[in-house]
Amino acid sequence: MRGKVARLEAVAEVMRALEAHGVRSLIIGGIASAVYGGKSVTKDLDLQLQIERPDMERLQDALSSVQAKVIAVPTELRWEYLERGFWVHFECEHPSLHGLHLDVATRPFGAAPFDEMWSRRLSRTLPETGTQAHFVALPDLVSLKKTRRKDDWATIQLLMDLDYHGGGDAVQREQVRFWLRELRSAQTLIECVARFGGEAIKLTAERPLLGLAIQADHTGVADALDEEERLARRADEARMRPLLDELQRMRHTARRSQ
Amino acid sequence: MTHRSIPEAHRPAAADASSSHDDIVVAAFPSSIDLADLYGEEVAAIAAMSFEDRWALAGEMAQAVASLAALRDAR
Repeated sequence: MRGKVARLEAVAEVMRALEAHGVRSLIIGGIASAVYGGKSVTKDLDLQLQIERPDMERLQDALSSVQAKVIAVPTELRWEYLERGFWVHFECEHPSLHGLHLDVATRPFGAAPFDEMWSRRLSRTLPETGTQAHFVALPDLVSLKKTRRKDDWATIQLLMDLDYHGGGDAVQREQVRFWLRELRSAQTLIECVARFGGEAIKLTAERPLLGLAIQADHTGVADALDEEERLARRADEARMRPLLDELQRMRHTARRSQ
Repeated sequence: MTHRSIPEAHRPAAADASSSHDDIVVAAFPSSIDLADLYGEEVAAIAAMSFEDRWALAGEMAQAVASLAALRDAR
């Protein structure tokens, strides 16, 4: 029990350190997924930061205050890396943080401009600590999860089904459109289309597989969802390839210099 | 996974479900999706949890992963 509390306190302490240094952050990744009901198992705190080049000193100070040490490539925190979409990975060595792993980025692929994401955030007071934390909104989390990794797509499917399940019978139009754009299980999508048919018809040009859902073609919808995922994963792979190759070169360089 | 059939009358071509207030859309019929059917009882239970309970669960899971990693590193 103590370990559980300690780890949550560590998250709160990092949030406090960033806030004390005027660095805005959104919790994304596995912890955000868990807050929305996902089954994500993670020991990392993934943060998207609102940082520009002149703010780097404040960020360095905040990270120093929790004794965050870089544990992977890129081997140092530089604006150039953050600006290009790299994640920088830390372990917090401060005794009260119990080795919390902290990953930070400012412009991860798939992210909308920070100000937009901030305006949509979910803010909650963390239990037992009184610390205010800001979680990425579900639509933004879904955008961030559209990666080359299959696991991320399974997470999107679950999170969307949970969101749909939690919705009522009279729903904001934007909420319905979000479901119609992003639901990823055939059964749920077909039901959603049947319940909110007018909106579904309007979005068919944008997401053609809704046409199959209108016909309640389960196999067709399932196949089209697979194809949608395949294309998006391939696009992410292509988009990420230069960075992945560069990370690989960084690892080689780091090994040679050890 | 079970596939529920949608009643013909509820298909969009037959019934435009959108109605009422400009920004509110009313469903043609209540949802019958059962999360436990789709994902099992554990997920259904998590779906019913408050933020505080989900947060605590995330902490438990994070601690479990950290403990496993520590064991692995110790080998």
